Amino acid sequence: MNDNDVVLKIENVGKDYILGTVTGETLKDAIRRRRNLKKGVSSDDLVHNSVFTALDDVSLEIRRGECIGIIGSNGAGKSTLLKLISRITIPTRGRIFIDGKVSSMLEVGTGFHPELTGKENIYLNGSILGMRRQEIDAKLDSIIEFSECQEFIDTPVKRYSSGMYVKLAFSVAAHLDSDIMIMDEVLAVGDIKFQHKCLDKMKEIARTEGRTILYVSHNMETVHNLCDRCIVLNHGRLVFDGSVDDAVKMYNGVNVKTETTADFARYIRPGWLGRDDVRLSWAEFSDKNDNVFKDDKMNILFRYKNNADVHNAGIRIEFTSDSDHPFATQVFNNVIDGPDGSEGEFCVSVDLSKIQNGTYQTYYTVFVLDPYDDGVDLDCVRGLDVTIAREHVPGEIKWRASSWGSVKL
Amino acid sequence: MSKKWTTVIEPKVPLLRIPFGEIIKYRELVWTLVKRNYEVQYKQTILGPLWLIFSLIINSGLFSFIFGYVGGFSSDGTPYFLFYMTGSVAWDFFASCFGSNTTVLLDNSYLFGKVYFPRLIMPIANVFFNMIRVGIKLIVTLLVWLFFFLNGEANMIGPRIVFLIPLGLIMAALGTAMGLIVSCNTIKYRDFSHIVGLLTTIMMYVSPVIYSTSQLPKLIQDVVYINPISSLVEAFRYCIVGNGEIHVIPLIYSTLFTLVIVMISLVQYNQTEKDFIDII
Repeated sequence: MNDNDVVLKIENVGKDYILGTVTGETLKDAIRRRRNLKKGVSSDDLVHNSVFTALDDVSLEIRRGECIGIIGSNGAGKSTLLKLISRITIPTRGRIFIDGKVSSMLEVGTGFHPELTGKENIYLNGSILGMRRQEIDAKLDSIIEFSECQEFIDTPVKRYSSGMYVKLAFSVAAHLDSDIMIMDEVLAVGDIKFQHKCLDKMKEIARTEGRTILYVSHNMETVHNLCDRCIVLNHGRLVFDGSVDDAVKMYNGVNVKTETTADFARYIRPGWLGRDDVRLSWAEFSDKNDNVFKDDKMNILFRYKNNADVHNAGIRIEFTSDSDHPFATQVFNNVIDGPDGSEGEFCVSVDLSKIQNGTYQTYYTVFVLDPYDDGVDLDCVRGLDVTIAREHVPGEIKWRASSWGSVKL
Repeated sequence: MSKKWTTVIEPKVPLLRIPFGEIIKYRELVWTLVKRNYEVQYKQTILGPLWLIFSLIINSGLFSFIFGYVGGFSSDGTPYFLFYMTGSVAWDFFASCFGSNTTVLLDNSYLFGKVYFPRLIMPIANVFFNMIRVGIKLIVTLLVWLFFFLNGEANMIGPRIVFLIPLGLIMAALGTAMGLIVSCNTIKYRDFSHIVGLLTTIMMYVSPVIYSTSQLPKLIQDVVYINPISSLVEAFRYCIVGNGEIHVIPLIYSTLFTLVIVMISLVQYNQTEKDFIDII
């Protein structure tokens, strides 16, 4: 291995954004603010315009031919990192070195103009993405074929259905050709069939020799399929760099779990959580030495910490099968209560009597009721795995979970 | 061993840098964008670029009627129609280079936010597009000139006509540079977008587009020549019709003014384009 193999080197890169209203201000505001600054008066705007660090001190070296997955929950800094590498904006700190041509597929249909026909847009979009004219000429047929839009290729895209539009757009992006490719999984567009086609195409690109790929995804399966190295970002920091297996475990918070205890302090919360009022910090089967249950009661001890005043929050214990489909949930109301900053613990006793033998994953979700009695989720963590192994009672039917499901009514 | 990198991305961008190499690499994009502008403008029109010619003829006709026939402005002996046509061709070229670039960053932010190419490509494409338009208009103007020449009302065109090229380039540079400065400042302060219309009107009336400076008192003439576009429009017209006179000092002033403003605009554009996408 020598230095020449490195195609992308990221050195202590950081990126700050200014929060607040930089955009909406008028000349008048700016002059007033400058005057206030001179006088030494701190105006309200200054308080508003605090700095948000989207990326902090990220360093990374990527070698030729590597295929790297980037995972992390929403807001972890993935997009910011990609934007920096594809030169859309510049870092606040640090430097990025690139050897070779970078193509970024951050969005499909960049620069598509509704008035132009499909074919004209292929040329427009292709050259915006950095393709040469001859290159597009050579690939035109396969782009059109891939897009499944042959009939409409001479029609202005404003008359396209939205599905046709994204199909055509993806087809152009998929035929890009460069040393470093930046791909975002959200690119996989269209109906399920076409999405699979997109993912297959991405795999094909990834496998082609000599390409270096940066692949962002929330879908661990495709990361597994595509990548041979994976990094995890959390709150703008690089928290892991290594094998895909370990990265996915890290992301799912598996490595801080034992059979009977789980520490959620470093667990990366899912991005869809809108609020962060309370965080579970610990869960354990306090009265057991393993996670194999032979009776109908599962006692779980929880610890939590409030980040805001919380009243009458409940917890849901959700059971899912291998395929991540939830099939049973027990709800406990009014278990968390307390002012901002308080910590506490509570114990729940889950009734397993209707769940049949098997190994199940669980999720613990904290919620409060809104005025319409809908649950608003405050925290959600991947819980302890549960194995139920009751002994067979002679004379009772043997349960076939694969045909009848896991719940016996 | 130190390695040669294709690209180094750093927090600081040099003040005055024109990435010639990159722009040449992306020359096909310039052409594609020019074509897009053209096609978008004339999609679903029957007459297509003929509209350009109509509006030029109608404008010149209106000007001739109002300022020439009714107002009795002096045209230094040039037929009114030809006088106003040459004036408005020159003026429109400058004004469209200016106008089309005042919103270049805002209008294309959807592109700039998704993909990288040298940001100067966009204003360059705008200028090329306007050059094509001014080329078409010039051909029409020359036909009009031919008509008056055959009638014995216009002078023969001499070799001076080649000076249209440097004059055109200076006008394009001036217009684009002013447009870029407005564009950069509009990112933060939308106030600047309101200046554009006002500035265009002022610059047009304080320049010999619709009158000739020879009829003005000396003092007012000097004021008119403060407007950097004045001497350019006048020289542009002189190159075609050959009436009136060339004022050398205002021309030198306009050229220097253009150089300075181009530098300023490049510095500002470089500093703005690097991260304007964060605050837009």
